[in-house]
Amino acid sequence: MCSKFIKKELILSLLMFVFKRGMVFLSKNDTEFIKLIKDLPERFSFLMTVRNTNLRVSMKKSNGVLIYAKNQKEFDLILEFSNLCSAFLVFAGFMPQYQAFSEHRLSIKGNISDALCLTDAINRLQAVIFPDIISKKLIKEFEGSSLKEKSLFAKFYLYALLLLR
Amino acid sequence: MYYEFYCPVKIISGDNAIFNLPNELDRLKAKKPLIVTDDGIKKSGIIDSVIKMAFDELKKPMPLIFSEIPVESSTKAVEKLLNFFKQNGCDSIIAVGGGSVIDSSKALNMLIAENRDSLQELAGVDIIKNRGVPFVVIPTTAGTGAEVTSVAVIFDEDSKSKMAFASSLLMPDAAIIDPAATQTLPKKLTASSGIDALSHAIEAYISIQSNPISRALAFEAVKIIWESLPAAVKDKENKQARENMLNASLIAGMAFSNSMVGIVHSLAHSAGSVLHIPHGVAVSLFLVAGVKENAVASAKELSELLNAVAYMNEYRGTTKQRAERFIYFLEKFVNQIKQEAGLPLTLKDAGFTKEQEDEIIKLATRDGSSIFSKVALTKERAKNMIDAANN
Repeated sequence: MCSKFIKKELILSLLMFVFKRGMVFLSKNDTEFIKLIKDLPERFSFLMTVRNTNLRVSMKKSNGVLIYAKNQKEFDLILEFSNLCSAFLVFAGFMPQYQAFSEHRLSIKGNISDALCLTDAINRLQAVIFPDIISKKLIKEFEGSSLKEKSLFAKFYLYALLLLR
Repeated sequence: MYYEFYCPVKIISGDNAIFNLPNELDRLKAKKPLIVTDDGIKKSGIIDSVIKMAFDELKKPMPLIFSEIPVESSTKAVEKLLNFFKQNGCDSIIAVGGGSVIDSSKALNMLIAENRDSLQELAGVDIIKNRGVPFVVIPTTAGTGAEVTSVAVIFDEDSKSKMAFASSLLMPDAAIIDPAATQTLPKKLTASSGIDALSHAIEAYISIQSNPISRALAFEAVKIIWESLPAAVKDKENKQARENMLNASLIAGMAFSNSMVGIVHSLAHSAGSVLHIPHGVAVSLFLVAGVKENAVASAKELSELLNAVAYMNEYRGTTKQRAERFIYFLEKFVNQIKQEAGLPLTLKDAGFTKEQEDEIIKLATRDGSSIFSKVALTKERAKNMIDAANN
């Protein structure tokens, strides 16, 4: 039981690392992603965390791109997963974010409009990192063609970045 | 299936239920309550007759009254209300009114609980941490369901936008449902708030967060509204119909507080902000269009709702046919109510111009209600709904 928990926590920390790198990369290189985070205010910060664990992703918007916010204490938006299992389901692509929210697995503290903006950005990230067969299940509907048209360059570059660095 | 359901509000419903108000205040250990209301309610005499009688009967002093809540609850009005509450050393709240009064009272309770003077920092989900003072609600409209919901919407006069607050700590301690409180409700308000309650029930039923309890409540609410709203609109002396509508509104409120609403409300919130029309009127314009957008994704749920509104001979057919039949009945029902009450039939009648379209779409696609809809509220879908509401 204990080792299973540790294994899940390890995989989740890896998935959160991919998420973090992906968000930073897309905010610099992907035009669709840049459009999606345009509405977020400058210096906007958010924290994704899992209750009762040390797992966390903290980022902020600076000069139009997302950067890590490691030492930040206060955040504009906090997304908190109720437990490890719920976070794993979302980060591993088994459950859409909206479903996790509707099932109270994910709680939001902050402005809902900013949360929706961030959700769209995360959807874009998922559309890029996951194969179509998975991302279609995670995203309700694509806005026009914005999320549908994935940049192959972004996809391969992101994979390379994650594997090689 | 995983779900959570929460409703800690004590409900006291029925004829003369208002007479239990002093007892409820005693139960909640409220010594100096403040009645929060609006000018219209004060002039209608509900407070001076019915509520005063309830206190006189037990030889208790009549509470203080604050009646300066505007039609649209605003930050300035709430700040004024907070000052009044503090200056007079009140220790509890009695909200007597519709959505605006109840939301303002929730906001007041939030400020008291968090010991703040301004609402801006408390906007969002689960920001507040403390429970406020004893809080009793007496709804005077049958539609918002605000007496049992965990949300409040306040217009921010600085940013000229609506701020949303959501927390289970916003819920009142008790709701008193008495048809005497709605006896002076004008026809238009009865109709628009009734359609709002219907939309709460339908959207709660088809929401991604719906669960067996919320579906049972929503189904019952649709059934009661279908039976009682036409009678309540036609004849305001029909006490039974008004009581039924109050109960339906409350039941729908319980359902949507635990299942949330969807794209109809996203459009209604944004159109309400841009066109400055009452929430119920905005909902009445988008309800059918929004349900039509859900016709495929929520065909099963809509086909089930047919059982609440039609005779048995209409039940036959495939899921798709039954869902379509429900939408057909819904459209007929809503139009009939709107015509009877003289509500705007199209967006244009409500003062909409083409130049406002982009603003409505922008606000709607950033409205939190759309999270709980099975279909995404894309710009294209929002435009379709505006076009449909304009025809």
